Amino acid sequence: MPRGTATEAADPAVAASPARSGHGLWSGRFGHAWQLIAFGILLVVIWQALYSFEIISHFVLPAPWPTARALGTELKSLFTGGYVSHALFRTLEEVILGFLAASAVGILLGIVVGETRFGERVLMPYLIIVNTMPRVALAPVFVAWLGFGLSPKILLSALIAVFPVIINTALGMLSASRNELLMFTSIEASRIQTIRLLKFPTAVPHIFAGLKSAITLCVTGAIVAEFLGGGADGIGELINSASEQLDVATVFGYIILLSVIGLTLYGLLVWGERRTVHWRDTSVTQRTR
Amino acid sequence: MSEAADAGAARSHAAAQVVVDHVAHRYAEVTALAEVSFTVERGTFASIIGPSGCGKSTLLHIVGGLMRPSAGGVTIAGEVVRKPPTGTGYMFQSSTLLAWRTVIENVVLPIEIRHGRAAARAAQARARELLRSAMLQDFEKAYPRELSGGMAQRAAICRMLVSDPGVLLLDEPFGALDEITRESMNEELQRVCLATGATALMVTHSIPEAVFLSDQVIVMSDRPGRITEIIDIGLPRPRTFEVTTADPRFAEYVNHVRAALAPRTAARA
Repeated sequence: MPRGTATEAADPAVAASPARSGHGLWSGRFGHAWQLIAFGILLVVIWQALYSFEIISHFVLPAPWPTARALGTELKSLFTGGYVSHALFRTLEEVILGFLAASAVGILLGIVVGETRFGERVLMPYLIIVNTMPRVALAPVFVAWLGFGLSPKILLSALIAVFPVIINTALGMLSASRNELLMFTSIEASRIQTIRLLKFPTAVPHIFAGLKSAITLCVTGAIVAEFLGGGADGIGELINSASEQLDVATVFGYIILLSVIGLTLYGLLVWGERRTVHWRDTSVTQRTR
Repeated sequence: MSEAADAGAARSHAAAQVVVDHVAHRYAEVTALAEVSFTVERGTFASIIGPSGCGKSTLLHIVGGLMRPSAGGVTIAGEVVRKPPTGTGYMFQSSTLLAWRTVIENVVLPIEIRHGRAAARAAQARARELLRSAMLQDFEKAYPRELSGGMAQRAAICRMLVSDPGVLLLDEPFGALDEITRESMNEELQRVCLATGATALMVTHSIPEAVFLSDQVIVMSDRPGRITEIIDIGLPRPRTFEVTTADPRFAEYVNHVRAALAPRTAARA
């Protein structure tokens, strides 16, 4: 299959094979709980030491305890319907809408790239150009186009996240074996039938690998867009104003909050993957229990 | 629609016969097949055997309408092959079962593709019957990952048979199986052929397998692929694996095929 080469060469880093995707979180490959906790305590001790001996300036690095207190304040505001819950809702809205847009556009373009000569030879080079652009630099342009509302944030988050979805979908569409393709030819399957009943289902585990990369990129994209655009009252703006007041503990609290959000979204995707790709016999579904 | 297909299958069944007439194939500058001609009589079993790269799979793909030859032509049941013929069942080296479909959904796939979902649902009874005769009745709702290699190939046989083909084309179907499973699969395939009266053409690189199953063994030479000898196997049917050790003629046939393959090996050594 000569078609595989262009897409494979494009970005091997994001084109993580779906077999490897099981090595991430929630795969049951973590060490024992006590090892994890012990290592976590060690990290906090190192953190405290860095603070106590002032190896890093106190303006830059807060101590663990004030950070925990700041996080506590944020969580309280979050669960009592305060300003944090409002901001988090806005940011989540950007992330989720950005993710849905990136998924829909990415899967569609991935099918075109993987399935058609036009997609592979003509579309793909342009997609690579877009991917190599520093898309974050487009944030001010999006503000100029779309104003200060949610839409420029959704656009940036989708634009940053779409590429791994395209690449993984395209690779997945090309990963049906030669014998499977011959079998479909031998029973006179049409091109649409071959896509619908063979190539797309074969691509599904690959697509999930792309979606898992995309969801974390969406969080990054939304926060960066909030930094650069403003006006959406999301977590990015709260981080901005806290850091303007040199309140680094509060900033760190928000970062921890965001990573918990990121992990949760990622976990939801892993759960969805398990439900969808239940027929696979790999570590993803089997070895976890 | 499915009645028409059944009638079509029955008609091709009655006249099934494969004629390969001066077929040649070239890939760019390389001649893969040079002027190959042979005939497979209705209801008989023929094997194509030869060294790797002799174009035997290419030849089978041409017979099955998966590829067009550069020259010459193939007729099945009197009709020139231009696309995969409806009355033909195909089997490949890997089972090519779809991992996301249950065994029975896999078996009815050819019906679903050709005649739609309603026809596939109607074919489930036939599929169940085939699975029972392949001793897979308990695995109807299982997914392919739950099957052993031999069971997966038995399911692939069921899928091949679901549209009652008059001609079976087998592309090294048991090449990936262990020897013990392979022997029982050979007996299974013979049973299927005798029960259905189908005409079969198989590509293999196992000499005992070719002799055990075939009425004629077509021996091919290295590139460019051409036929060096066609050997008729006169062993009575049904054959059991005792034949391979008990009947001295079996060993003679095996040696005959080996000798027909040998000149090339001798020349190369």
